[in-house]
Amino acid sequence: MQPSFERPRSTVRPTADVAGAAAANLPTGLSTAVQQLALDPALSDAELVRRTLAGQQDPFAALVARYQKRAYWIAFHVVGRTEEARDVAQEAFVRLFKGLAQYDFARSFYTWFYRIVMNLAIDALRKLRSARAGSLDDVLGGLPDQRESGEAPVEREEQDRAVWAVLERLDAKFRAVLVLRDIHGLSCREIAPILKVTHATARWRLHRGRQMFREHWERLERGGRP
Amino acid sequence: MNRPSASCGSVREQLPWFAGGELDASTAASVRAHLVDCHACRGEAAVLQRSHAALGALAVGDETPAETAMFADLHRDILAAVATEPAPSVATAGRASWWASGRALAAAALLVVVGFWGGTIVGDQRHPGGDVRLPSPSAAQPASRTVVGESPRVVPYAGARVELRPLGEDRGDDEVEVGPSGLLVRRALRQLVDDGVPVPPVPPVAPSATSVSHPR
Repeated sequence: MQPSFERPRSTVRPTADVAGAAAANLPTGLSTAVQQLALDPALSDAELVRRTLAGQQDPFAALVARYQKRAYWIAFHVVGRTEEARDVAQEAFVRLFKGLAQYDFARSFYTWFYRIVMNLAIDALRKLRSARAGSLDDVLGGLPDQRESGEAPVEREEQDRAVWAVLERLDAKFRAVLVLRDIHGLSCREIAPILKVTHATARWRLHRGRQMFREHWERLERGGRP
Repeated sequence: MNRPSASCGSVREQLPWFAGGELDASTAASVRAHLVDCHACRGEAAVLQRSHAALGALAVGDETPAETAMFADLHRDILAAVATEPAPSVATAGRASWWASGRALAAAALLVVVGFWGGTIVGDQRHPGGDVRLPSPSAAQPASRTVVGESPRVVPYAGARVELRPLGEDRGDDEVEVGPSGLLVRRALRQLVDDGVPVPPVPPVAPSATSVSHPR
């Protein structure tokens, strides 16, 4: 019997446009008007941008509602800290708002926004690492914050901790592409403009990043440090 | 069978894509066929598969109540932070592009100025002592060496200024008697820069032509 090494594609792959997403993906406490705008499948992100530029407030609140969770989780998987991820998400929206007038309607909104998020997240990661350099945190591998998922089995928690430890060992540019592809399910064609690299570079980083991840993972499985 | 085959190298290059399920069907089939026979590659593929699965398991599943509350707060905080910013508008965009082009022009002008300034510095470094240039045969010509962007400046001769006058008058400390001709020679460093119309150059006197006697 042939071994099956192929793994099904991630089921968490986000759609390019959130229109039509389930209300469960929106934050709670939204006003009815904002919720309707955020969930209206006929309203594209670009249309929400247009309405914001026309002086309306609710469309921007709807954009925030559509994208804030993804912004937070991408930042969290790059930075590994809840507080910093929250700051990155908030700052990304402030920058988005400030630069909204420069939005190129011919291009994808989410690519533009994810680039803002990713740049801020990588900056935050580098600041964290330089602050940790030489400190005890560095020796311990800069343990990331754990999600409070009280029902997760111990093995799963240990595995997650090991993944974070390996991610900590990777250069930010490899970590970024692994996070976007293997955790958030974006394709290399989508990743390339977000990281402002060519498609070939995105593929090379993914290939190399997976190899490096595997090397550290194997070391860890053998009982050593990643 | 524990036998690395000749195609191990190429298969291992494909393994990261294989683990990610990104190979086309025919390539995936050939990789799979190789893995059946090759123990070493199979081991590597297994580690890749486990690491890839562990990484993918970080993908967010169900939200915890704490996260739900945090996202509600985050939405409020973002809108509060944005409310302090001036509203973006198309008019702002126009102003921004005008401002951006203005900044680009200013940057270009600054580059030009810095370039000229840098060129002047480099030019001066070729002549130690700033504008004081060493006398040279070519420098004796009142050719104007101008730098692009500067007003033309004539520096014909950078050596000592030599003046001759009849012997018999009061002699200064900087004057010496020149041979049997009965003349005094006053030597002084010229003021070179921007001091009016340049004095026509006088070439230095060749040592063999005159004998200089020091004042007694």
